[in-house]
Amino acid sequence: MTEERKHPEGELTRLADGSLPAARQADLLAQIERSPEMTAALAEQERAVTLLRALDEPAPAGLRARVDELTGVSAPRRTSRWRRIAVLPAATAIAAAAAAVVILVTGGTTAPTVPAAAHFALASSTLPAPPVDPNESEDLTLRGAGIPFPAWAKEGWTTDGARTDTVGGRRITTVFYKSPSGKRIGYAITGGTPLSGVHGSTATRYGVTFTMQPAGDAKLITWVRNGHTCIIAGRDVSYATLLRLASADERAEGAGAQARVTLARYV
Amino acid sequence: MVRRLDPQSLGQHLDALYRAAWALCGSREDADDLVQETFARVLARPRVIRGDERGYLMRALRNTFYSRLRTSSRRPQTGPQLDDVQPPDPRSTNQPERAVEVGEILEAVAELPEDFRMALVAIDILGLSYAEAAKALDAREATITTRLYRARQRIARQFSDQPAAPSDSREGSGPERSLA
Repeated sequence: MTEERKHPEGELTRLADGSLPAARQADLLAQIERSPEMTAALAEQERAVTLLRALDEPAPAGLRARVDELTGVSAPRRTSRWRRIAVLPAATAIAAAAAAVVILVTGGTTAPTVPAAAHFALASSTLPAPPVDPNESEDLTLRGAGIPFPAWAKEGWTTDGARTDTVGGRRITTVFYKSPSGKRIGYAITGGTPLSGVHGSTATRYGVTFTMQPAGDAKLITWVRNGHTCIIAGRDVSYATLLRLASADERAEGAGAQARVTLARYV
Repeated sequence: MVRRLDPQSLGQHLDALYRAAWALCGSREDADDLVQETFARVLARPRVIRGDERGYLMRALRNTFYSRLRTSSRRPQTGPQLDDVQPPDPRSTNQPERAVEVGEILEAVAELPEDFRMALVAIDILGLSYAEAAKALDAREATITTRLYRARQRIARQFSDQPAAPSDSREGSGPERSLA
């Protein structure tokens, strides 16, 4: 018996960040299902992983310039050129993304990429806010690719509108939410096979891998549910907040169900 | 695999190294100095590395951090001078809520017992694998995993809405609640 199997916290640590070998997951998930203490311990580990791996503070520009000098990267003309590109106004980046979307909407049949689909999660609403499902208070009545959108009132976010779009033959359904302080996020579900263009650091919660990636001045969290790409996007909202909401949705979907599915796969 | 360290490839690790340094020092300004000194030391002469570049930088960062601690403990302590006070980073002041959140988390990491902090910085902030972290920190992988578990436990409780468990008040790297 390995040292980690004698001390399950070692395996919980790895399960929380997705590094536990698949062969060990079934046993451990079975233990977790039987133990409220281990369930709570796993939730703590996952909470810390989410907080820590969502940190995205970049090095200050002054430090980068000094390090570039040390590493010999700062050939002056090249550096200044790239700096200018790096500080292009966010509006320009968004306009470029919008232009890409327009091309896709008007002529293309190619599936959208994640950044293109995220454009809609950051756009204006064109439909009224969908109501809460009277039969399921955790969900809204609106669905995207058969997946119900979550009601996040308990998380402090209320619905603020919706829209539907079709890009490259793919239906993108989006619901917008706002916080009491006026921040706004969009949750878009794209029907069909998972989209390309997913790049960034990842965090695993409830067995689901979430990818964090920037898009202009916005932040995106993407993951796949039931084979469809889900995107939550917002400006002036931290990755930690977006991850908390995305993983709350997965938790509501059923951490227990997830565990059972994983178990069934390996037993 | 043994190979020569390419200085120009090190810039890609800068952001992660800066966050790691902030988590070690507990201050944005000290992190800035620590990272610059780390790069200056690494690049002072050609280097040959075995394994991952980021693991190598983690060892260099840790050694530089300890070296600075030893130096500062020998130096007479004085209060900050006006010239030492740096203006706030404009990117962060544009997003005050985010700045507080990042700062609070990294400063909480800096308050962890040293062994816990190093394991957490290596794996959750720098993104090393458990094996790379064990090599960088000269410890067994199982030891690193246990330290990481405890470190995450403390951070999760500190930023939880739930009341803190009694074991939160313990210090040092001794055992906390165990599931074994």
